[in-house]
Amino acid sequence: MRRWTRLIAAPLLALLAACSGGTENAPPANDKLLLAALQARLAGLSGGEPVPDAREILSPALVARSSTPLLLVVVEAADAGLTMVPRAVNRGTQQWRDISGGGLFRRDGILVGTRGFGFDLHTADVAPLAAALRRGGGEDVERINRYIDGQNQIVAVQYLCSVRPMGRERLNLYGTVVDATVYRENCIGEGPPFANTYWVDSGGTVRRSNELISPRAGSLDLSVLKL
Amino acid sequence: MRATRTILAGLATAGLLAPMVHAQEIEPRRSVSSYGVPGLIDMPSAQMQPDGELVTSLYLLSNGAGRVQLSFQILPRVQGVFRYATLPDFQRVGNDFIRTYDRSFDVRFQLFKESGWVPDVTVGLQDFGGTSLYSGEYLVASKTFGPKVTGTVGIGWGRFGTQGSFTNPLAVLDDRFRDRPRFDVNSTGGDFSTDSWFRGDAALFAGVEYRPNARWTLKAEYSSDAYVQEEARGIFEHDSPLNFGVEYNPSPGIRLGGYLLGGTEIGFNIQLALNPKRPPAGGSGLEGAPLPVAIRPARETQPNLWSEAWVGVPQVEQPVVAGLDAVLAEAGLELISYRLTGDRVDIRFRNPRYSSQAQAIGRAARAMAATLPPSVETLVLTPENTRSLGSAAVILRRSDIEALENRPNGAAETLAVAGIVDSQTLPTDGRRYVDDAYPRLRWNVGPYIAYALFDPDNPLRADVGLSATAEWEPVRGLILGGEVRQKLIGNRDESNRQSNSVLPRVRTNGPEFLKTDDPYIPYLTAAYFFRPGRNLYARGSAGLLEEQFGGVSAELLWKPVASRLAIGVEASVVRQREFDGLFGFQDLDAETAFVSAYYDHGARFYSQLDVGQYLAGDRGATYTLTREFSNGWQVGAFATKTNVSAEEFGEGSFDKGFFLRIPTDWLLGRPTRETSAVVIRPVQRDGGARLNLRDRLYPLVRDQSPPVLTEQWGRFWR
Repeated sequence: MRRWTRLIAAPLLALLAACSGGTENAPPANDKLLLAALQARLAGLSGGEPVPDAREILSPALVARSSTPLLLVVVEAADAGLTMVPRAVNRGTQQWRDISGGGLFRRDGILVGTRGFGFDLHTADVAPLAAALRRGGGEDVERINRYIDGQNQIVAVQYLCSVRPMGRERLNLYGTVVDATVYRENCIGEGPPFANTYWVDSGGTVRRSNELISPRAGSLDLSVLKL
Repeated sequence: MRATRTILAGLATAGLLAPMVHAQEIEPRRSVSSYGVPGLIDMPSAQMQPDGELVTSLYLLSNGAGRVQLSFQILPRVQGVFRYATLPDFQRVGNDFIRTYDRSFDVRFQLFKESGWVPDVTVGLQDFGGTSLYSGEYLVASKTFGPKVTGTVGIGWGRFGTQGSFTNPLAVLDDRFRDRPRFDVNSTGGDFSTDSWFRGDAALFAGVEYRPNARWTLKAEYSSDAYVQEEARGIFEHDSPLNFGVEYNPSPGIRLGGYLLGGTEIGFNIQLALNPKRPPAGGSGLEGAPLPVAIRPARETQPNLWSEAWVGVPQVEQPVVAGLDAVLAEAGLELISYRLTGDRVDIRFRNPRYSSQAQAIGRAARAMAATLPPSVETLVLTPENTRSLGSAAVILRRSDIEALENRPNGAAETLAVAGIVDSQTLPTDGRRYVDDAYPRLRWNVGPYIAYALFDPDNPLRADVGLSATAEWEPVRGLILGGEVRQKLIGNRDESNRQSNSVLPRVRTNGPEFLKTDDPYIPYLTAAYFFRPGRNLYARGSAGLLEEQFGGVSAELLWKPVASRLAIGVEASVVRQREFDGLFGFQDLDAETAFVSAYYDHGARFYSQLDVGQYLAGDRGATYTLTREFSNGWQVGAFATKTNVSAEEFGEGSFDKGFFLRIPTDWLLGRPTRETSAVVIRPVQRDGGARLNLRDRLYPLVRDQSPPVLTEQWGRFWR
């Protein structure tokens, strides 16, 4: 009996409690978007047949109507698109969530963690990279990615990354046109080499990026649809 | 010999799903021989598997012989193998030859690892118990030539010294090496037969393995095994010492092989490999992101919110506790009790979901940060187990949680500032239990599978049926629990081994318990669990303690938080139950008592030494060595020596076996505390037998305190 009442009551109470605790809660984006996120995420995890994903449902009008910032996340390995909304900010790190509870962390517009993708990026130390992007690239920086290995141990993988401007490109993000400088981050180090790409607008905001989660999980393509 | 869950299914699934590896980190998986060790066809190579690798191989020969082998890479240079083999028309009974089943263990040590011109060199003892048909020793060297070719040469004794054999070169050292004791199919075996190792004639073998690509492997060998015993019984025609094989690798961790042996027979091999270090879904798991840490408003800007005036005001306390309870429940945790003060809150909670206690503590800390008034700075968290026993309490500063949430090295930094104490030392004044913490009822009705693996006459017996379990905790720590089972179908009752034991038959009439077709009661107990004091844990149980015995049992465990050593005492007075598995008892009493020492060696090796009196009244000691992976995988072996002689003991000479425990979350990637376990004993006899007690204290409380708690700390922020 108790179990059932708790099951029903928990989400309601939790919502209230979380609000009262002072977490910076984002109002839920409209249901259609979140449903698309869920479908895409399920498709991505099961590797099953493609279902309509966020990219097919999103439209300039839909994005414009959104009352909250929106992130389009494309899981490259599964070719699945899903949307995320901001959930909290703590000391400069933004947490984004999709409807099914998966999420990612961004700091200075750079991916510093993923949750629920399997073979997740646990944390990333990208302070030197953020500084290099602010200075317009053209330098080598250190990056430390941390992963939880199969034995619940945190493994720090150190990289040396060259950050280079690659020219300019015009992005069309569902109706918003952004002129961006493209930066390529080429990393070599203790793990397999990889390359990330960042599209940075004139205000220094990363509007689009292609960033590695882990060698097994592959990369995410992130677009900030609404700031 | 019995397992309660579907470990084989698990092994198969894991083999299927086993991930690819970062090639530069881990040495490659090796193709195994027909004996389950890295090698060619019948001949071993000197190579080792990656550390921790567990390979199950099933080898079938066209003459009806077969072997199942389980090999484990215990250490980077030490490998152990368990083998269950069957041969047709082999054992003589009167004038007939009947199929025989045989169990054996191998161990291999790598003396040199390949480096430059130095090859891998390994010495192996196959069936070191020494009585089986397969016993043989070898010294072998292997060398790779580029990524595609591996060459192997070796010298073998015993089974491996029968083709093209010559006088043992070791006879130069001592004449005793000249002769090997005769193979005896009827011997009891089980002891280390050091008197036959490396004895008798020797022979040379060689072979080459060629891997044209990642999928295919070709093998050819000159075998030093002439299949002498099989030829003598007419079940193998050995025309040639040359064997050939081809193997295909359809997906990582799976390998299929076909072989031509002795010029006459065809062999097939299926190899499934998995490694505790490589969970199919990765180490991070698939569960969603945790609740973000809620940040308190700054004290300077909103000092009124930081007031402690809420303490003792039910209108505030009640919603705070209700909110905490609900947010914990959302994280899968159950609040049991709390103690509120203005700047510090202690909670005790159950963790039915996460296999890592550190992850549960991390999620509970975030629930506290989300719901407690800003004045609360000190968070004290005690996870309790299903028996309402708490062990370590973790003390955290809320401002640390807020500051470290997103730090790149946040887990280590949080551990560095966390206080870990025995929860027994915490203040109890003002501790309140949530309304529905007790009494507590849990029940379950579902199917069960119980199986017996590798028994002396049949490799697999299983029963499937319905099981109902219930557990009621009317007051904290007192647990009344039981189970009823009804078998639906199965063949465990077909074992008609007659006990020939000369000891009190405390275990050898075990098959009789499996013959009931009516509902039976595996256990029905009243048990009380409590903490008598700091560092101490206690249990008292009475009732139908296990399937075969009922009585009373008590245990006391001393385990300081953060100590590598723990010591327990346990005493039980029991009587054997009726074979029908109901409430009756037979006329066989036993008193059994032990002192146990548990030691964590570090590097995730654990020892356990139990000294005392066993069920049959024999006295002695059991040593258990376990390798545990911090994801919860356990692989271990045990041996018991008591004052019962090998003759009195019977087949196997002394009690021994090994076990595997696989956490379900490792397999699925979803959080759960379920595990699958299997214990394999070559033979169950009456000597060195212990009770199968539920809820022994050490395994119950071990993961709630360091070192295990802190080994998994990487999941705190997960």
